[in-house]
Amino acid sequence: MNTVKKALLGSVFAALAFSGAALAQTIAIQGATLVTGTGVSLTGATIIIQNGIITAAGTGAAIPAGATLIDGTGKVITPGLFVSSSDLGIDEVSAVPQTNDSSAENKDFAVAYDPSYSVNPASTLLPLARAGGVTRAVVMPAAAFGDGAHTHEGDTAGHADEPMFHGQPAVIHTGAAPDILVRTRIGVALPFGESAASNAGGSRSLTVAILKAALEDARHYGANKAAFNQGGTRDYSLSRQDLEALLPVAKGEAPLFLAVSRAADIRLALRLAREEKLKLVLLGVEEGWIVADEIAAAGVPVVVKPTTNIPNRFEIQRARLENAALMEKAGVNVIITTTADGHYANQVRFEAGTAVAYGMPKDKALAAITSRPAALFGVPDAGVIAVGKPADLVLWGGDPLEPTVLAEKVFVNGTEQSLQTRARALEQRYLNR
Amino acid sequence: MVAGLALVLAGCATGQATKQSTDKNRDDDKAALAQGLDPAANRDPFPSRYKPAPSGLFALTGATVLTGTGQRIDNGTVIVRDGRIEAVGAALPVPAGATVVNATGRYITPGIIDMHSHLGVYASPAVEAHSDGNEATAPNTAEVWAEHSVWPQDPGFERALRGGVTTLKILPGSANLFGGRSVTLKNVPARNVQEMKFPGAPYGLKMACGENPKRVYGGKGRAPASRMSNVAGYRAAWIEAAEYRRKWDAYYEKQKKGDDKGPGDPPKRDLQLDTLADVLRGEILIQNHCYRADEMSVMLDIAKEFGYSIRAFHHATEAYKIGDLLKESGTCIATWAHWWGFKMEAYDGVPANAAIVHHKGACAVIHSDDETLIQHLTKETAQAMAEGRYLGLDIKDEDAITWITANPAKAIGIQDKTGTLEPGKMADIVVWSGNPFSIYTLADLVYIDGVLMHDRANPPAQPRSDFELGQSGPEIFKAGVK
Repeated sequence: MNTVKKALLGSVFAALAFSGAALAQTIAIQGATLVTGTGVSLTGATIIIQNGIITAAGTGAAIPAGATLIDGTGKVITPGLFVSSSDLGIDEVSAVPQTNDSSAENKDFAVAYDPSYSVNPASTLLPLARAGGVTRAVVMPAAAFGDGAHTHEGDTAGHADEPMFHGQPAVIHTGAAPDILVRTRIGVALPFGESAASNAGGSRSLTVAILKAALEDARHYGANKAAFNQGGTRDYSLSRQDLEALLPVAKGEAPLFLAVSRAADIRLALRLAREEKLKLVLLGVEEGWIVADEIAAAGVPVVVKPTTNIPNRFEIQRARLENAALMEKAGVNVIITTTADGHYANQVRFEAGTAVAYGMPKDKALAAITSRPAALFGVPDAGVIAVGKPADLVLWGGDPLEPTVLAEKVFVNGTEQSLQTRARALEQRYLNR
Repeated sequence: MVAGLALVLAGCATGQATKQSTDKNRDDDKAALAQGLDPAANRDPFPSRYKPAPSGLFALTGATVLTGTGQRIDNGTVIVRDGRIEAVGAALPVPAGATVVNATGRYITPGIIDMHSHLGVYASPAVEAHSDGNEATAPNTAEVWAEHSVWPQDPGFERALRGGVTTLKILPGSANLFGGRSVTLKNVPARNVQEMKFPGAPYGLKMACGENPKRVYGGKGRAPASRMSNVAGYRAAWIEAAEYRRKWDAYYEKQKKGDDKGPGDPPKRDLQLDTLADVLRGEILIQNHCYRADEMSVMLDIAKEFGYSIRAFHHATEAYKIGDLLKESGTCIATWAHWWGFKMEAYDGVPANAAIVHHKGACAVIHSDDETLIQHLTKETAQAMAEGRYLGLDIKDEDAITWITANPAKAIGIQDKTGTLEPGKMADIVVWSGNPFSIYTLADLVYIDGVLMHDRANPPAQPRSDFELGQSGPEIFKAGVK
């Protein structure tokens, strides 16, 4: 779609992109509670969507003639939800390697690894995600957000031989379309705790040494590309492709997505970011509540999974359900996601709900799965509801964070989506058999 | 030879066994087996030492009560005396001397039962040293008992308690055709597994279908490497078990007849066949890990062939396809709402699985199989209920609560003891801050046998495992040493 290309070029959204007879329609949802994603919540609101564009969002809007009217009484409208670290689109059946591109183990293409080439818009995971209100996902290469599930069955492969770097995340939308990439190569992902130490050679200190050497090499390479191409530089610790990919991170232009858990490791990451002048985003951050003041002072955003509270790794021994709330209170920019397994992308709203149950203000928790990730990952057309923007929103049967509530309408990038999923097709086949 | 060994062993056997020996005449003594050599001598060699504290008399008043029997009672009262439920009803009179707990605006349910957990056998932290749940060295390890791997200090137990879980079934993993015995536990702090064991709960035997056994053993170049070999393995084992049972029964028959020559040489005891034979006797309940509809259907026929029943299929992601067969066989299924697609045999998993099975009149259970999900079972149940309602099914809160209370109690054979709020049952009760299916609701009070095990308002009184005790907290990052 045009919109995808435009987003890739970083241009501002143009309404013209949506012209066409198929989209020529007006929808008015009346009487709903409107949550804009930026902390504003209006009751009895009307939202009008014309040809995919929001033309009114508030109380007292006039209904255009010929509009399809939808009663929103008792319902809630939110921006489409973000999943901020996922293998959505690159994983179909996790244990069937032919369908799972979430893990790549090539040491010459570790930093440069770009999962966007593997994205499959026909994945059955995408309709399930969007039926659950998810309209955007950050495709994060495997183990950058380590939380392997079901390991006792041996279903989740070990990561011992993986390269230390995990490539360059991409952003996708979940709408039905042949091209669903929104942004690619948005930074570099790197695990920084127990698993990274294991990959680096058995110690956290080696992780630091390897990272520092890589950054130094990338900078040197960046300043001596011509010499490098003539064989006139010293040896580097990374391949040319990896140096090239790491360069924007080394220059502090693109973010380094660092998966880190233990309080001491979080402090170490903050120190490294200061020393190396890096633009840092922390993932996981299970013990973040302990050093929340320092994270807030550094202005570093965090991407967390609030239900993580089992000390199944020593590095998350102090994980607790109040983590998101406590960091929020300390002034950290908290973004909420769910498990990296894209089969469960639709669980992100329950992660936000759990954060609320343990003390995070509800408007902040909603922002943490809408406007905040949209801003962090550079998708200005998503995550908020505002006049002039494409409709990227969900009409919920009630409180969107409640598991008893389902999405009733989902718009992705201006287009209303079917809520049919493969699971529902199976349910309907066998319901009355 | 065997008798001589028995005499030697008698000297170091338990006091009980010694007493039995001295009560018998000399001729019988020669033939008597030491307790450990006779499978029937003591079917409970690691007996429960769980003893709840006195609960006294108290009444929970003013709550919405979901009883676990399919009923909802508004302004309900639950009266507990001496660890048992005495009465449940709307606005009941409070007996003299009862302590009153005002639960107005809150919900009361039976304690949550998770019938598929690996807490203790895959304890946290999940280091290699704690990996005790799969004896993946042979496809039939019916001789192992999960209780011998349970580490009571797993910090997962107390987190599950905070989620309202009062009873758990701990199972061996699913690498093997026969994984070993499961054990049912009360979720109470303990020094050893015996202090957690649910008194009078029957044992289960974990079996596994499908991908896991064939992958684990096929990968080692041995049987089973296919689903057809899985089935051959089950059948061969039941044939052995039937033979073993017959030999022992013949021996006991001779013993009972009191023949002058004695009962003759006893069969050699075999721990693996003991467990399988007790399944055939109906004393151990089959808990069968099985995902696909076609495989569950085959397992039901194997059970018919050898004369036992399958109490529950676990995971059972395709149970919704065979609701009629499950209803006919009386087999429960324990499943998730949101897990699917992690492997091929889970690809057809659907959120309404439990709801459809319930709709077909069979016994549906939501389980966790996970140390995080176990803390959120009401929310998982809510997802299954919501998807069922989406399909047009009339499923009420008071129905759905049975999927994590009465139905798992039935599936693991403790339905006469717990799982519902009915007079005479164990007072395993949760008082929730609101509707338990709301994401914002937390367990305020959790009672096990009438004893308050978790009080959300009183963190210092909440159970804490030895592992977590005395670890440095956040203060280390605020300390002032330069």
